[in-house]
Amino acid sequence: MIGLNKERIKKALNDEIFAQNPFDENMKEQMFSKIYFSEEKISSKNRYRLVFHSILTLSVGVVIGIGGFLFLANTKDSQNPNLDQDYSGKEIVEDRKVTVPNEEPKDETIRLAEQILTNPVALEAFLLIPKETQHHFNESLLFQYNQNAKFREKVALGIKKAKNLSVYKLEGLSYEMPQNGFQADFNDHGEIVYIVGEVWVKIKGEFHTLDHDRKEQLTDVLSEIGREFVTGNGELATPDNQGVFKASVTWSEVPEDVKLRIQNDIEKKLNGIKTLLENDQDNQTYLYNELRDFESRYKKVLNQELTMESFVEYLGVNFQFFIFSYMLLEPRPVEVLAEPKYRTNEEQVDIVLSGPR
Amino acid sequence: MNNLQPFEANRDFYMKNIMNQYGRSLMNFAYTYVKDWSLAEDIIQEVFISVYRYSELKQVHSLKSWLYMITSNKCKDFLRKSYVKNDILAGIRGYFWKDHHHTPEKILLSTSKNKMISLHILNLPVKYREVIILFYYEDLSIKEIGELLQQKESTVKSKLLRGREKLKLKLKTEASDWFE
Repeated sequence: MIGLNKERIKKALNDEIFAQNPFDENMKEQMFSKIYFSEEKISSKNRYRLVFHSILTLSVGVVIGIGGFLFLANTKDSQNPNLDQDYSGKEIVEDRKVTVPNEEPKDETIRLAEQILTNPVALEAFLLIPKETQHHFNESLLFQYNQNAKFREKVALGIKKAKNLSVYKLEGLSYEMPQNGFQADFNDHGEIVYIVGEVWVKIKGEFHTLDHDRKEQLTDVLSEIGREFVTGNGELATPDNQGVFKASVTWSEVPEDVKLRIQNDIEKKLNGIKTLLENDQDNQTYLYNELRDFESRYKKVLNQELTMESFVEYLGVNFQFFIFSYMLLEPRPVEVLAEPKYRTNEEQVDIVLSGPR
Repeated sequence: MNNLQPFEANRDFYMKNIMNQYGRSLMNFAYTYVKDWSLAEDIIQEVFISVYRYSELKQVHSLKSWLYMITSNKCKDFLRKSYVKNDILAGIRGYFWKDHHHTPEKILLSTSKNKMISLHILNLPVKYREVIILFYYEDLSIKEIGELLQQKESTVKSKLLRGREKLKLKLKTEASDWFE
């Protein structure tokens, strides 16, 4: 079978991609110290949680114990204490010896679960989970299992479909999975654009309450300065499949005229924002605070030497400003949601189970 | 470094050794999934935290495969959560016009062949990309890849074949340089 030339592939990847790997002694030391920090955080969170839950469990136990004792004492008093009562005609029932069944020693997972699962519904559901999956629950997952009924439902569904749920699958089920096209701030669905985020909801709400003059001023100025995400040059387009906004070229590859255009763009935006804020210096609404935040971020980029880092910052603030403008201008219908639309439990379970272990 | 019997006694020492030996290569591997060094760093941090907490470490048969498996799983968990970012970018690109003098495609064409093949590999869908990287770069066998990714050997072979075909199509006339 014809295959790729291994040595050439290795050299290409090493030279072009992996040469940029920033892993060094410094990073290693930082990672190692973060391991310690996370252990401390977990232990102290655990300690707090265990202490809190232990006290709670103990208190509940004491109350139940006292209550039970009083109940039994009451019941005994109300019964006929006369042991010589004539039972003739009735079957005599032997005293039964009450034996306490030997309990198996509880395993660590159950012990932990009993401390963390203070919600009796959660504890009851957890005890029904097959042992193998129970042992994949860590403290964080147990905590979420305690709080979140939807997570419990998903786990129950997952167990019906698969023999065992690994820790990865449990983690995959523990968060809400947005529907396709609802995971970001800006989600273009063709006929309608969904903008997601609580702050956007607040800003949009405030915009509707503005007087006519302010609304008009905002839309006029934003039409001038807020319509484009970048300056309109292909080099500044973000590359496909990137999780963060980064330029597809390095700073040294960006031509001088483009750098000048970035500077002009920032100045133009700052002038526009200044106009909008002129008569609203004391306006502390979300909308005007957001404008102030844009102003401060653009100024920061302009005041620094234009480098790769400030360029990335520029792309970031430009994208946010674009969403802000788009939401208020509505070139196409816009719906603003506080949270994304989530997949159903069934869909999410199927997706998570279809993944690797 | 598979003798981890004294691990419990000297966990920190072994952890540092693991990070020395595998840190860089795991970060490379994570990068091939997320294509961002800062994200790769975050993921590897999580991998090391998981490793540090794993109490049965001394029973791990093959440390390298196990580390790569954790890394692969954590990367895919991340991608599942963040895959929509691709939708954002696809949507946003439509909102600005491009200057036709310098498009990313032209930049790609003008770069070296090495860069080109690297970018094409990284642009493969994840399911093909990971087997290509594990086979050609990490030198793992089909069997080892199958164990690492929890897939049948036939599945791995099929993905390897499809991945190669896709690369061949991308490389077009230069394919003969890269294929043996």
